[in-house]
Amino acid sequence: MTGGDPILDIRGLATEFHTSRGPVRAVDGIDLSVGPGETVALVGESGCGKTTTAFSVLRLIPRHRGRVVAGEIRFDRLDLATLDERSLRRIRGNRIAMIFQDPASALNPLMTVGAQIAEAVRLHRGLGRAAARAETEALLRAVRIPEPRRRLDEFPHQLSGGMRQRVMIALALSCRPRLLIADEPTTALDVTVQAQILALIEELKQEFGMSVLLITHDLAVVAEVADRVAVMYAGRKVEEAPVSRLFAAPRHPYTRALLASIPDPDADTGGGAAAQPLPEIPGRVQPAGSRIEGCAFAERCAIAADICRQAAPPEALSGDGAAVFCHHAAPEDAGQIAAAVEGRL
Amino acid sequence: MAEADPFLKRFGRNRPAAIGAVLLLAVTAGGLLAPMLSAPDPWAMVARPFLWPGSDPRFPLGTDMLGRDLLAGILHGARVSLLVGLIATAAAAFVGISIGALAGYYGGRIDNLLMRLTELFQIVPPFILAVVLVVILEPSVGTIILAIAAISWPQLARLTRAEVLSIREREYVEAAVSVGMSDRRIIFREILPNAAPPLLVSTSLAVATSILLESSLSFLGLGDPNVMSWGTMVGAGREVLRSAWYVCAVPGVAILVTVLAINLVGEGLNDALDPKRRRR
Amino acid sequence: MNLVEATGLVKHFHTGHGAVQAIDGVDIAVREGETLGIVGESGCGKSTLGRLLTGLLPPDRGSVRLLGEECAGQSRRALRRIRPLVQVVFQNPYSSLNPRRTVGRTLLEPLAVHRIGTPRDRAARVAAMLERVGLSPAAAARYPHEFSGGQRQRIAIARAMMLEPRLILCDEAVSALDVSVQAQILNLLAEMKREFGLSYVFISHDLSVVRHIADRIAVMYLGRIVEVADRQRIWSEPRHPYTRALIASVPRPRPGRPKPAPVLHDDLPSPIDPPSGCRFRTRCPVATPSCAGQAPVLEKMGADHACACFHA
Repeated sequence: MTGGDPILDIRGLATEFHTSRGPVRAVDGIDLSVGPGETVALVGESGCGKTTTAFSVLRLIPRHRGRVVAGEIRFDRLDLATLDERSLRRIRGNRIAMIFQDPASALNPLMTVGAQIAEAVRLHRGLGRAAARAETEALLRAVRIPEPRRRLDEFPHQLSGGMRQRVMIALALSCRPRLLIADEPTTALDVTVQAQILALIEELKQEFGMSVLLITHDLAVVAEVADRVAVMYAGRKVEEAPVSRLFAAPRHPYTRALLASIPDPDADTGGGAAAQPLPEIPGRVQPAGSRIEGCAFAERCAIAADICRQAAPPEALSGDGAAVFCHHAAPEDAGQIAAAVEGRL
Repeated sequence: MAEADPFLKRFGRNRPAAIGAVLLLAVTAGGLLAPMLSAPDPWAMVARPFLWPGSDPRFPLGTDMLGRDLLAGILHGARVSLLVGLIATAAAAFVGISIGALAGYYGGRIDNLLMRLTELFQIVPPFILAVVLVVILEPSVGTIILAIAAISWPQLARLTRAEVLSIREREYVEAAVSVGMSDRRIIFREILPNAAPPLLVSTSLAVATSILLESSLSFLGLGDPNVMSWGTMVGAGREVLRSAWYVCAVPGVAILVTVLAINLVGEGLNDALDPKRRRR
Repeated sequence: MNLVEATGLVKHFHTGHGAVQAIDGVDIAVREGETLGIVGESGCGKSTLGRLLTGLLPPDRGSVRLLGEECAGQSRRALRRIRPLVQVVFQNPYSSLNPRRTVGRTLLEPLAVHRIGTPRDRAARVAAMLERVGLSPAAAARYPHEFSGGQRQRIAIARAMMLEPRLILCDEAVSALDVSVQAQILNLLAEMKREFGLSYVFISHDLSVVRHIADRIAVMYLGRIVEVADRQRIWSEPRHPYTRALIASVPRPRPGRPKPAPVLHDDLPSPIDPPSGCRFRTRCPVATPSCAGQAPVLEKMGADHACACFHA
């Protein structure tokens, strides 16, 4: 944990999409904060609203598709939820930068990578042509691209997926952002390249003094890089905790089930015997837009009772910013024991 | 047939497409009922020449320079135009879709061969090719249909090939191969039904093009001399364009309305078959 | 006993830039009742190898024997007879089912093609199979778009099972699914294997998943197998430097563990112009000049373990 006031502080964020069947709430009252120098991971399965949350921070959702309907997004004494579009543009890609899952579609195929980064550098930092080129080269070097001078004049298609993601990161760093939002940055990459990119983000975080908001579905990646984790389910946050605590003593049944259902590569299998069945979460995530009275996870929860279907679970806070939303949350310290009893850890 | 009903509904909700369908039905009915609605013989000189439309209630669309009833010409001409349009397109679709499907499915040498053949038909400007074919083969309804089909199929072949190429790579096709389905079964049951929407739309538009082509050929005097067609009528009125423009205009409007109607229907089909619009 | 035995497989794809050496000299067998996992980075040729092993793709050179019967070089018609023995489940649950067919028709089709059973018989088998994979028999009347990704994958498994195959190729079969659904499908695959005595060729880029489900794991690099061993051994005693790098790169769900520095730095060389000798030598931490000469071949390293490296 890193101290100090949060860089980004989201309170009660709600985002809706317009559909033919009326507004659909993709994010339904999320609180989340990112402290200076901190890496916060937002995890969940597809459709849980994690990407929508990230897009809402920069209000990147096209107006015809949806909008932020409630909440505050505090960044640097500004409220991004209500800020006018012009001021917001000065923040996007400048003090908050974003990288995406698919670097191929985020880069202009007709411009050399050097020209693309130099353009951003000149736009945001007001450097001259030569200075921008030198700075671009320095950035490519910073993201550990070999032979950066040669790469300046290459086009995106000439680079591998990993190299393209490095270029995207260089582009994001070009304005020395205070916050980097990384939306599934390594999902499209091979595992060896993923390890390189994750290590790179970690190093750059130190070097540039950034905070990182990492959006991912991959809990193993979260374990490797995050300081704090928020777990989302059906548009709501169900649990938040420092990473070691979340993995050691998950309190929400969904978190517990999720952690249990990932195969552990280092599990001792006892010499070639058939693997134990993985614990499953029955059913599937409710389609977006179905209004839920009580707890969104009740339908699939092994320990759900009547109250879970009737009333939304209250937030149970504990020290160091951990929180859980569950009527039957495992007790803070006994969480590990409860999980062990269920045979899931 | 669970899908037919909502399909018709979607189609019907599309106002322009519905109007197109009504117009097209009207033209078809006019053509079918031609002998009952007007003189049995459109060539017969039935009245004074140059009767302007509306001047004689017995000949609401007037008469041409030989005193032939223009209404009879329009109604009988509808038969020829629709007949040529439909048969030529059917022939073009048969050839084009077959060749395109074979080329797209088998790829490699077969694809190369069939596509070079297709290009052969596309090097010559299509209309010139049609003119040459009709002149060589003597103008008749049959040769006109042949000529139109000969220049229309390459486009359908290319479209079919492109569709088949992309669908062939889908995993359900690979799964069908692994089940041991024959190539024919895969093409007809797995691939072509999924390629149908764009093909159907483009085939319906080809009908409109065929009607225009027939009219253009007839206008140039390359029509079948024994049948009354809209193009022949426009061609005949050409010489009196200054004094009696309606002789050209009446069949011209008939062509315009029919082609427009088919285009509207085609676009309506396109929208109705687009799965992305289905949910609205 | 070996279900599939492939020797000397070579498959090149011709592109505008030259021939991609997708598979370049592979020997591998799939044993009766085992799950053979194939792992490697994208572009290593694992999907191509899967298709060669199942006869979906003819090899340029080499032999594929399925239950002792040679498949390579057979006509499409002859292959159709062997096909029911080997079925496939693909990655993308959205493109692996024909969108214009009801689920029931999709499942009936294999039976109809091979003229198995009477129509009533077939419908009953479809219903039973749908139930077996955890769907309601009523699903037969519905179209693929009405199902979720996980349910579609169940349908794809049901289709693969209709002809009672001996071997199923799972090509990234759970990669597009969410973790919770992925666990369901992995468990279903394991149950089917136990119940019907199946074998799987399980291809995935996700080492954790392969490690969970496979009995034996083959590691591929640029069109060749560099190491193959039973899953416990390959994890505890990896011999090939590439296998070691791969295993070290897998993120672990254990926060705070000491993180190893990334071992591999450069990207995969082009499969059009692969390095001479050992293909891994350009990225290998222990490569010596001699690695550029002869290509190392798979050599036995004890029971059920083979590795292609001069420095193993």
